[in-house]
Amino acid sequence: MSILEHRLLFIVGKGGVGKTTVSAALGMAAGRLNKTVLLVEVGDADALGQIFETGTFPETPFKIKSNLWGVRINPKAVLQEYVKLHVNIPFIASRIVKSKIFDYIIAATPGLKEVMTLGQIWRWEQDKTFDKSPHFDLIVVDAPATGHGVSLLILPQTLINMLVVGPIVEQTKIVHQLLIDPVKTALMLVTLPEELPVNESLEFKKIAREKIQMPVQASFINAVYPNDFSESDKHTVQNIFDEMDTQKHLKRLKPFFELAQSTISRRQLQQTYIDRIYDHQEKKEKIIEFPFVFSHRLCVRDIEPLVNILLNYHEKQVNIS
Amino acid sequence: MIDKINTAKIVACCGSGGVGKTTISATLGLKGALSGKKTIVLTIDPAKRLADALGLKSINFQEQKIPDECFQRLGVQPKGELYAMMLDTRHVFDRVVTTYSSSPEMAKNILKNRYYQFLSTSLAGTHEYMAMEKLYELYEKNTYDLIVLDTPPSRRALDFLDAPERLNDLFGRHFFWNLLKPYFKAGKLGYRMIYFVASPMLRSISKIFGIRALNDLADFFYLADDSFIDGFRNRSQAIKSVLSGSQTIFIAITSPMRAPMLEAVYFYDKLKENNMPFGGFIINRVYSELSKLNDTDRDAIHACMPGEEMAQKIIQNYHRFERLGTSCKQLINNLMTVTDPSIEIHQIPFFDTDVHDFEHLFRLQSYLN
Repeated sequence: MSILEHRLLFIVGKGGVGKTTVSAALGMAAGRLNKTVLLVEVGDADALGQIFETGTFPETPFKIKSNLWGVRINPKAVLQEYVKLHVNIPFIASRIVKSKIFDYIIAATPGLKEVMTLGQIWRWEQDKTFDKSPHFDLIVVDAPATGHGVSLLILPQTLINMLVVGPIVEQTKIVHQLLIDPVKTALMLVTLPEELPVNESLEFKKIAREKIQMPVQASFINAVYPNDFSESDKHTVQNIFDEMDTQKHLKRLKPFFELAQSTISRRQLQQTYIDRIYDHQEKKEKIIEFPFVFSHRLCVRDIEPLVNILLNYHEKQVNIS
Repeated sequence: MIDKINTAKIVACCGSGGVGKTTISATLGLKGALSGKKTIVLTIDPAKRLADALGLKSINFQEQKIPDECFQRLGVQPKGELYAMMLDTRHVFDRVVTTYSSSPEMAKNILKNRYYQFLSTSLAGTHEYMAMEKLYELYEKNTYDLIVLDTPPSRRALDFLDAPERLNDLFGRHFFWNLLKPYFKAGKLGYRMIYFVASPMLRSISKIFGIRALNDLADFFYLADDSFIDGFRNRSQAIKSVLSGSQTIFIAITSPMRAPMLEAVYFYDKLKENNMPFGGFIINRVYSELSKLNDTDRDAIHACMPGEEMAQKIIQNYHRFERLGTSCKQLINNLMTVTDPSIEIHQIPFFDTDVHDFEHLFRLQSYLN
């Protein structure tokens, strides 16, 4: 099954590894396959909005371009809707959502925001929202960075344990069924080929498997340096570099060769981490490498090459199956 | 910035996730120890990152000294000492409860309360608050010359500052008490639910949340109100005054990427707005600006390379980093234009190797002079 054939993707990983970049690339790739895609930001994040230069996403799905949609989930607003839906008397319901106790309960209940967030995602998946949004073939969730983004998936279970019974517990259980369905939903982990991110991603895979019953279906190794220099190239660069000190006219070319050498050694170091990720590859886990983007102001154009990688990967997977 | 750090007693390192907060915290700690201070680096990160950075095999919830061998291996003799400590949120919270409860029995009841168990580990802001609590405790004990705090990982740098306020709100909302107390006070522990039915609103809320949960909550606040809430409130005031005092500085750590940069600026603005002491920006992993590749250089590279293709690779590689250096430079320039000229901005270059051991920390600290 191709990574773009699921209904729901959760993109997780520690802060700064490129979750948003990967989310955007996945959304754009699915869009190219004529799927209607919803990109989801959670809380007060606006990272996707920065990439697409749309500003912060609104709280109801809006069209970014053609079949690519974006939305930002505001858990409090969702909970307000939820209360209105579950309290039969409209007068009481509106009193509740306006009351201070309501604010208080949101602040004091660990996991409530997460439950509401997942509930909303579930409604889009089920086409059960009332916001006139189209049917989404693919929903991509750029998870918040806190605790790897795993808190979004793990806290609802904590809340179930606390509440024990009631409509919120029932809803959470239904949503959980969607999350652990490996055909519909896939957890995708983003990491960097560096010591600490790799260590943490290996720890995370264990948590995903054991604590949230959602094994990581795909790992993205982000920001891999290009591997332009072959083994023999490396020797050539080294040889010329060694000559430089003795030959005066070459001396001023030193920075160019230093940089080439630095790229070569960085790439070699990265390879050891990439190998480690493959060494720990799980049975059904896909591993996709994304090249380093040589710009620090990510925009849609910078992500284009990543989209192509995903589309090629998708095609291969479809052909195999 | 280093002058400020030298006179400070508390350095709080803030920044969004993935910018290298833990590494920089460890570096600043190392710097403190080298300059003769008895220094401790405090982290909350459960992922053992600080241990990795300090070259420790593991790090526990005790104050732990970085062995002299670590320094000796580098051929340096620190004038001070370096300690590290990891924070266990639940443990610190339990201590707060025990300290401020009016009786041991009361403390026991709170610790046993089901809601407390969730609150103390899972509530947003708890980690941040307890980090401050521990920081305050260490500060009061006065056994260290310098405390470096590695703030909990979050998407937003600001979460750290907001957290105590949020928790304080939670425990200090009088309207909550005025509204609910009549229902809460009545009845014995564990039997408060019956009284909820008296209010139509509470009845509806309890239908959604389940009566048991509300009951646990009620029990917790009933117990807490009678015992530790006042202590808690006073304490968070004290913490706040330490954090905004002249002995503290906040450092904004960022990488040269758009999102964390914006976050760092936002953090800086917020500090300024609240008159909190700001120590400057540290921009981690900066690609340096390269000079433009001119035609003469291009020709010279072609001339000294055995083949066309190889020369192209060298040039292409250079172009890529030239682009990267330019984009870094632009972002840093933007930062400079939006901040006060007196604000220090330190840059740490991107290294060819990973910074994850003591030796590399040592290398890093030389960039923070």
